[in-house]
Amino acid sequence: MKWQEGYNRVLVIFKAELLHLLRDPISLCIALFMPMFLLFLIGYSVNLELKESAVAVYDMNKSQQSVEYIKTIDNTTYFNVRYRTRNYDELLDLLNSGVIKLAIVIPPKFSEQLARGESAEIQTLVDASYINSALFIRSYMESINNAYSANIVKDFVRAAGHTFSSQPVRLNTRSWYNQALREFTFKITGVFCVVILGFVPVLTALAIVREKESGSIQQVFASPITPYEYIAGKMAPYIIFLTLDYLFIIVFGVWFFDLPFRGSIFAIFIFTLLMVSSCVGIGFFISTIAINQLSAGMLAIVFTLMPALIYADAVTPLDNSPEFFKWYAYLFPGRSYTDICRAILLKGADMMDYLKDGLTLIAYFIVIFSICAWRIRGKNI
Amino acid sequence: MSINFNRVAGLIKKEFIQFFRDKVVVGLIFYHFVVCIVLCAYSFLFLSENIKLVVYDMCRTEQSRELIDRFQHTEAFALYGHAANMGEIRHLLNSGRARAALIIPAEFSRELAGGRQADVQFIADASDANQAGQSAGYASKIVAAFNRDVTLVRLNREGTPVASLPGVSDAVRPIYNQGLSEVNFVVISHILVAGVIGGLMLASTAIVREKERGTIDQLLVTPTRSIELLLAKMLAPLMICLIATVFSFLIVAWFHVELKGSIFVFFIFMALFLTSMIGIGALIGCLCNNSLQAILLSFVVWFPAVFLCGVATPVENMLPFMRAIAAVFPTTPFMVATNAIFAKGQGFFALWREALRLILTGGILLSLGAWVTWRQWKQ
Repeated sequence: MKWQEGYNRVLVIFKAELLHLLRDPISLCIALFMPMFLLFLIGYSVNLELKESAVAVYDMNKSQQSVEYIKTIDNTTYFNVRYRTRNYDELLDLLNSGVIKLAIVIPPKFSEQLARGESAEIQTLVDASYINSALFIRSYMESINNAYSANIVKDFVRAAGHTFSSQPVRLNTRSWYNQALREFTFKITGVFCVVILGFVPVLTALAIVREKESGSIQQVFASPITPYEYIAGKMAPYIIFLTLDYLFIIVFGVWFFDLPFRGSIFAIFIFTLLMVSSCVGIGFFISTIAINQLSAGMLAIVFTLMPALIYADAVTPLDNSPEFFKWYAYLFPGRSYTDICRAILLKGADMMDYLKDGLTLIAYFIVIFSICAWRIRGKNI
Repeated sequence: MSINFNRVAGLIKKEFIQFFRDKVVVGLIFYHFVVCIVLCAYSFLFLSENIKLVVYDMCRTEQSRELIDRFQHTEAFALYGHAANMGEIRHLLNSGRARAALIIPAEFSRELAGGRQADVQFIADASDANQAGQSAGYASKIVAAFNRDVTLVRLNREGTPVASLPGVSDAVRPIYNQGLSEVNFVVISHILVAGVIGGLMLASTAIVREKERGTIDQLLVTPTRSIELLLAKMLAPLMICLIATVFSFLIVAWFHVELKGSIFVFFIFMALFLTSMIGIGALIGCLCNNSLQAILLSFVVWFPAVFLCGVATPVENMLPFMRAIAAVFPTTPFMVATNAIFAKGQGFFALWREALRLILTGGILLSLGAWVTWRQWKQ
């Protein structure tokens, strides 16, 4: 039976590669512990929320109204008015020394302007050297001012003797899927993709280059095995081992960080399998083009680790990058996986919602598998 | 113990030749010091723009259209489309094709006309908590402006002629980074990221390579002293990384990142910082037996060194034990120093604390690395 022979040949390669994998303790450790390490690292370190950030105020108005306004700012969970200065330079000194990130100047005519029904303009000085904090501070201040203004308008309308609502539109904001807006949930689900795209190719990039370096690939060429059988046999142990490994990491992450798990584990399994397979494919592709183990390792890092961090949609949103870079991002299978992972865990989406992405991953795998086999068949590696 | 500088120069030359011969390594350094910075400057941005918004307008009047227009005419939102029912909204959000939804009730304009309050619903997809927070902020800002305008018109119509409404507005004056541009920060911080990779990889592989090929024995039987060899092994990566940093500065110029301090001070700090990274690299090189292990171990160091130093999150927002870990890495003082040099224009002496920390960590790491290598070579 021709089919049976081919199957046997795949099995032989499979067993040999499995032994290789199990005999390499460093790779095993990295496969198991690096993702967990990264999970903790990103989970605990990436936190953009501001809590009780120190603020300095220079109140030139010194009226009841300005005191009340300062109290409003102090009462939020974001800011804590810790310094009151008597001149502008003191504010700048505090900013320069990095003690505060935000300084507020209240103009002398603050209460007068408000009483006259005009808009009073305060000035805020924001330390923008840490841009992310600065952007958050700006938007917090905006919402504080909006709420404060709305209250003044309400009083103003009442005072003018009207009964209509000064807040004609009330915005009911709901956040779906992650009610408490926990950053954890968002980061951890992003890390799942980063660890697969970041480490799987590095771990598998050596599979073929190792045989090239030791010369044993010539024996493979001389044997009756076809390129497809060879690649299939070599990839299979990695795919099986790494899929189980990452499934374990996802379950562990969900359990440890107490994330919701609204979808089915079967759906997660299928998409993880597809994602891992594609990444194993990338690793094998690198293996067929690299000249030695060192360059294979480095190429894997260049090709996948940085794109994983930048383009997996894991840490920053991708929607606002230029078109060209979006296309570059589609070269890597990560983009849809992050979406899918979040959708299944947090939204409880089922597989049909992401059928297209699933098919894309399958197509991605088939293409990269064929390229690897074609590179082997050329024997020019 | 005298050091023959001619021999050291010769060895450095050898390291350079070996570096340029390996095209992959040259490519890697170029990628991290140039390409990656460009990629990140375009894409590694936290601020969300053009968030895809789906609208379900049950009212379909002039007023509801005006509110939708206001959402549409900001950079924050891009209209994805109109939904005909809640099921459609649920589906679009579930599949991630839209990230936010605006639902205007049928009685919207009736309530407005009656001077009552109309409830408008805004749904943010919070599986991306960061973006959801931003989009909710944008939405409330748009609605607040809408409310003010409607109230103003109403006051005038109902017999209170006013030109403006009282309120507090905010003239934000960003200090140090005038345009509040994210790009500046990303470019600066990714020079650091590149420096970490360059220092670790070049130093560790330079040492491991000789071990792998067995050429270390040949070198050790020559009159070269091991201290000279070590010096060359550490100076060469330092020089290569500093040259690569010059290329990074082309990117700095390309993105018009303002450098307020002196470029000279920056390079002093860069050299101090690279020295300590090279010290860690040398340690890794000593511990590993082959290049791949060295690369993988470099990455074990790379992650905490980069993630904890303030590139992604300000250090003061972290949990105390994370801050303690962050303090150990030389990246943390370097991040503070580069930021101060680029954005605040501070000089060397204003940053003496950071310089001291870098010199200390660098000195300890470097001598540790040197000592371990030297012991290994003596055997």
